[in-house]
Amino acid sequence: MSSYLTSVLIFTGINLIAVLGMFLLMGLTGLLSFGQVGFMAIGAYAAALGYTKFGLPFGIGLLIGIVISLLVGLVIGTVTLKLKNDYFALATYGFSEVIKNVLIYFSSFTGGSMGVFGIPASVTLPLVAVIFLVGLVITRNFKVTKLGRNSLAIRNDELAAQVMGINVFKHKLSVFLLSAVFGSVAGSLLAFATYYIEPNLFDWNRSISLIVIVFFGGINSLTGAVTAGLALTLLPEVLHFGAEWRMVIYTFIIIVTMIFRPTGLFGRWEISGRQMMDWFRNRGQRSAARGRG
Amino acid sequence: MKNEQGTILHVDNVTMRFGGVVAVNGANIRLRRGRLAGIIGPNGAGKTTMFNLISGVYTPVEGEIRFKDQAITGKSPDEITHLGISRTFQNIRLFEGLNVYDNVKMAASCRSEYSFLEAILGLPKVWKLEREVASEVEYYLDLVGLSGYEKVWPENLAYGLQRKLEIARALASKPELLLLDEPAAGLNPTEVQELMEIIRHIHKELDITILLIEHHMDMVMSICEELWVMNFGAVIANGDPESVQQDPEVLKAYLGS
Ligand SMILES: Nc1ncnc2c1ncn2[C@@H]1O[C@H](COP(=O)(O)OP(=O)(O)O)[C@@H](O)[C@H]1O
Ligand SMILES: [Mg+2]
Repeated sequence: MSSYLTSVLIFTGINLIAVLGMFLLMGLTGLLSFGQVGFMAIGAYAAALGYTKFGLPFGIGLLIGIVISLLVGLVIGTVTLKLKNDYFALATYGFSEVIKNVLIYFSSFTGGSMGVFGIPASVTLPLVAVIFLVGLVITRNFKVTKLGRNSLAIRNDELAAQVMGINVFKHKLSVFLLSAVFGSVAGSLLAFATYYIEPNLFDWNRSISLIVIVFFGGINSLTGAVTAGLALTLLPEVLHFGAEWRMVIYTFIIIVTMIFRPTGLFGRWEISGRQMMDWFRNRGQRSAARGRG
Repeated sequence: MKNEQGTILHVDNVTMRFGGVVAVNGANIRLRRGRLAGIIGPNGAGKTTMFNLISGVYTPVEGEIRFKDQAITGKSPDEITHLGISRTFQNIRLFEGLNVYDNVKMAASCRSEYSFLEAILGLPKVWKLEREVASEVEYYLDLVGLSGYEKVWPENLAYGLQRKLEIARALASKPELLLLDEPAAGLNPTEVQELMEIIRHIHKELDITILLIEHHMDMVMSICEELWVMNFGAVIANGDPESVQQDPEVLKAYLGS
């Protein structure tokens, strides 16, 4: 595989991990968050600074990023998740901007707007693939157990959900923390997939791109979110769109989706093992029938 | 030993105000365990507010509510549901993002003893409990006559079936006290008859206490063992249907004299 293709796939995989977090939060639970990029920044800087300042290996930096993200997420979530969803969205935007500015301000430690140099680009495609698959299984388990049902119930009717026995705040907080972990892990991987990170890498339109992907693929469909994540990360890369065009294209996608397919490209459809088995079996039977006929 | 005669619900001098509106005014209710009872009264009398107070949607400004001799005033709706009270809504509130089956399963699995972490890791225990819940769901769907509709989206159900689904969902959280807010509203006479049979059957089969709101006198008279009559936020009469029907206060409230 060419090194260009490998690197495109690595960045796509990393983006998909962040998409999973956004799918849980915004897709299933209905919590629009502009803060995912803040957790990516935390994960990236924890891993990068852990290495450049303290010589910590990637795995330890990744874990430190997760712990910091959980603590920060706990504080942010506790303060904002009791607010109405609109205010929560605003507050998460503020949070990601604060993170970015903190990184710029404490420049003697973080390198400020110059960023952090000298990170070994040691993340490989198999590692990203394995972590993505673990994330995918976690997200799928979330969706098919009571966690997914509770999320959808909350998204649909918070009061009825509470009356049916869900501790709405606690559930939202748990989902927020889980999505923070996904963001943080994606960030750590991102840092170790390049030699260099800087605060502007974690601009708020990175959160927007995650939102667009989940919205486009279908807020109810994990299959849709992942497919949209693949398409919308790979296509601009393959077609060599500049970053300046990306926002225009995203806006276009949102408008077209809202008009023609408000439930997202995939609606509620999920690919399932059984469906695939049936499909293969039918095909087998058809070809067997052809053979006989 | 099960105390048939025990009081399962105490509503003591409860008052609720919305701005200047006194929706419930010093109301008292003592509901015996095992009863199939009703609250009646004209529109705006405060019946739904009473349910909102009992289920924790609102906290009363005065008075106390006790369930199984435990104060529940100020507890949140989810805590109260876990203590054993469940309800339906006057204006149906099903979860449109979930199909019929999952609407009921959501309520049933709220008591499933697996944690967030166990669920996302997909431990065997989780799938075992999910399978157990699945059979409960079938039971409750069957109880209200909704077997065969599992995959349907609630918004595509006929109105009468939506009402039944709400009852199944409420039952799935395994309440000891079930609150039904105008379960017959919007149904045609045949559907009302059928619903009455279902409610009677549920009451006997599950051995639970049921308190329902209705303003159709005929339905209430035929299935309720005890009634409370509300008017302008106050409880103006209480007793068995026959005596309530002859109560001068009640006649006045209903005939508006
Ligand atoms: N959330 C609320 N805010 C303001 N007023 C309310 C609210 N809920 C109920 N009310 C008022 O309280 C009174 C009783 O309403 P309700 O309990 O719904 O009556 P019922 O169910 O007996 O028809 C009405 O005047 C209603 O307008
Ligand atoms: Mg009412």
